[in-house]
Formats: sequence, structure tokens, C-alpha cells
Amino acid sequence: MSGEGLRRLLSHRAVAVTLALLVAWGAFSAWSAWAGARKLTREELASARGGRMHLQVTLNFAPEAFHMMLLQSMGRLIEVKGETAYLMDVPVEEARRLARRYWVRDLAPWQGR
Amino acid sequence: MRVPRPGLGERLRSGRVLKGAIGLLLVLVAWQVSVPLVGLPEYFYPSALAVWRACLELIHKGILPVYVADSLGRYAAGVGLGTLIGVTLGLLISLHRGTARLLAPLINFLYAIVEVAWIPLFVIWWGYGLKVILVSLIYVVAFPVLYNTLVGIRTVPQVYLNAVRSLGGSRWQVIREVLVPAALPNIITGFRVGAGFAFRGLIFAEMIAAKTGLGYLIFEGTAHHQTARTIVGMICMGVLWLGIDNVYLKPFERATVERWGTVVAAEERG
Repeated sequence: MSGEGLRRLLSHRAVAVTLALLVAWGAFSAWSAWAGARKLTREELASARGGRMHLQVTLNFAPEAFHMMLLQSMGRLIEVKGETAYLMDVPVEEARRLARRYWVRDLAPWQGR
Repeated sequence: MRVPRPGLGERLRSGRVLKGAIGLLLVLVAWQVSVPLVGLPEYFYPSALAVWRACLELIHKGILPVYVADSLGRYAAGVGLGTLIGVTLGLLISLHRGTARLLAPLINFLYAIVEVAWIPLFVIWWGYGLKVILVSLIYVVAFPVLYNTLVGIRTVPQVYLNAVRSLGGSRWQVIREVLVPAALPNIITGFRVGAGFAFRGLIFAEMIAAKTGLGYLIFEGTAHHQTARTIVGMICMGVLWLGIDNVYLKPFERATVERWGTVVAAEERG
């Protein structure tokens, strides 16, 4: 596409806004992946047995019904103490996805109960 | 002919944006000032600042982004499917004048029954969840699109059809070259009407049949005396609709009318 064609395409409000939203979403996803890898390291993920792990999930606040439901959908929610929830049998992929959530402060493997 | 529209820069220079912002600010100040004067508890009449704090809290806790994304996903799926079904049925029905005449009263009748009336029945049939929300949205969108497709095709002058046929055009060519382009402005009008209805329908369906989404936020906020959250949900709904309408629907309708329409767009008439 020529420069003029591209400029004309970008002059459409819908195209420009959609592109801006996609760029913002891409940047946020990249940041989330980077932050998630720092919360739950490769070594910690490697401790999973049978593709599942027990997790201690610390939020920045006491979890609400929304967070409980989400955590329950990822594994067995054993208990919540203050800002920390204890989960068992979380698939590794779900653990990785959980670590990417910006409202999760920290994740750590837990010995389970 | 393309009619130039004032861009954002021009609107900024003309002071329209500034006036709008001042108007909004005045409403917010009046709202905030009125709270201590009225003296009602916060769950009954929350202040503008309380709503702002609730909004920040919902973002901080990751609730609002998920609810907005869920609502928008359901909305896009419902509107897309509803439009597809509406246009397809409209074309199929209008190709047979007898069928169109037979079904027109039924379509008008169903168009008049709002989706809210159907939702309890949908819940009995499909239970709570995404299916009910999608069916409700499809219902809301499909009828205005179907109705406007029928009207659009009915108003195509017979001389155009005869002209294509007399030049040896096939039935498919008549549809592709005459009927669809001529009915397109009507279809887009139906689409925009349906998309507007769908937004309201979505909120109502989510109140009843969902565990996430802006409708659920509005409902849950009231149920738990978190009225500020309810108002956050309402404001998000308004802002999203303004965004969708101004960024996508209005320009789309305008471009369609400019390209295919034989009438002038409403906003050009002033």
C-alpha cells in the first residue's frame, strides 16, 4: 500500500481508533506477560507434578466474589486468609495465566493440604 | 459527493469540545455539592467522588476491565449474528413477493415484542448463561435489520430491475447489482437501530442471565448496596455506546449513504 493510501486509511476515525486500541492492547499484553514471568518463575513452574501445582496467590486486596469465582475456575480453592488465597491442582497453563493478571501481587508454590 | 465534516481540531478551535466539557463539569459539581445538602446515606445517593472512587477500585481489582470485555464480546457476537440472520432472511423473504406479503404482519408483530418479554421464556428453554444472552441479542438485532431489508428492497424502483433483466441479467445479478446496493442504506439504518436496541438488551439480559458484564455489575451493585458501583456500570454503558456509535456506526452509516444512497443523510440535512 502506498504512503498516500495508508494515510487515507488512517484518516478514517474507525480505523485509527481500532489500531490505537489494538496497539494499546498489544502493549498491555506484552507487559502482562513480562510481569507474569517475574511473579511465577520458570523454576517455580517446573516444580509442578503431573502438569498441576498448588499455589498461594496473594492479591493487592481481600478477594471479592469475582476473584473467588475466577480462582475456583482455575483450581480447587482451599481457603482465603486476608489477601491470600490457597489453591490446589492448578494446571500450569492456568497458573501462568493467573500470574499475568495485574491485580495478582504474587504467586508462589504451596505444599498443599 | 463526500460532504466534509469538521474534524476534532476544527471542533476544538470552534469551542464545541470546550463547551461540552464545561457542561459536563457543571453537572458533576452540582451533583457533588448536592450530596451534603440532600443528606441521604451514600448507598441511597452516592456522590460523584464516591462513584469515581468506586470506578478506580473496580479497575484496581481487575473487575471492570473483565466486565467491559465480556459485555463487548457478547455484544459484538450478538450484533454480528443478528445482522447476518436479519439480512439473509430479509433477502430470502423479499425475493418472493407472496411470501413477503404473507410474513410481513408476523414480522411486524414479532418486531413489536421487546426482547425483555422473551427473556424469561429463553431462560426456561436454555437456562442461564451465554446462550440466552446471545439469543436475546440476535432477536433484538435481527428484526430491525430484517424489517429494514424488506422495506429497502420493496422501495427499489421496478424500472431498475427491468433494466438489468432486459440486458440479460440473471437473478443473482439482479440481487447483487441492484437489490443489495439499493437496500444497503436501509439495511445499515436497521443495523444501527438494532445495535442501539442490542446495547439495552445486553444490559437487561446480563442482569438476568450472567455472572459477569456491565448488566451484572449494575444489578449486583444495587443488590449489595454498592450503589456507586451501579452508577459506574451505567456510566460505562453510556460511554461505550457513545464510543461505538460515534467511532463505528455513524461513520459506517454515513459512508454507506454517500456511496449507495439516493437520499441525503439526516445529519447533512441539518
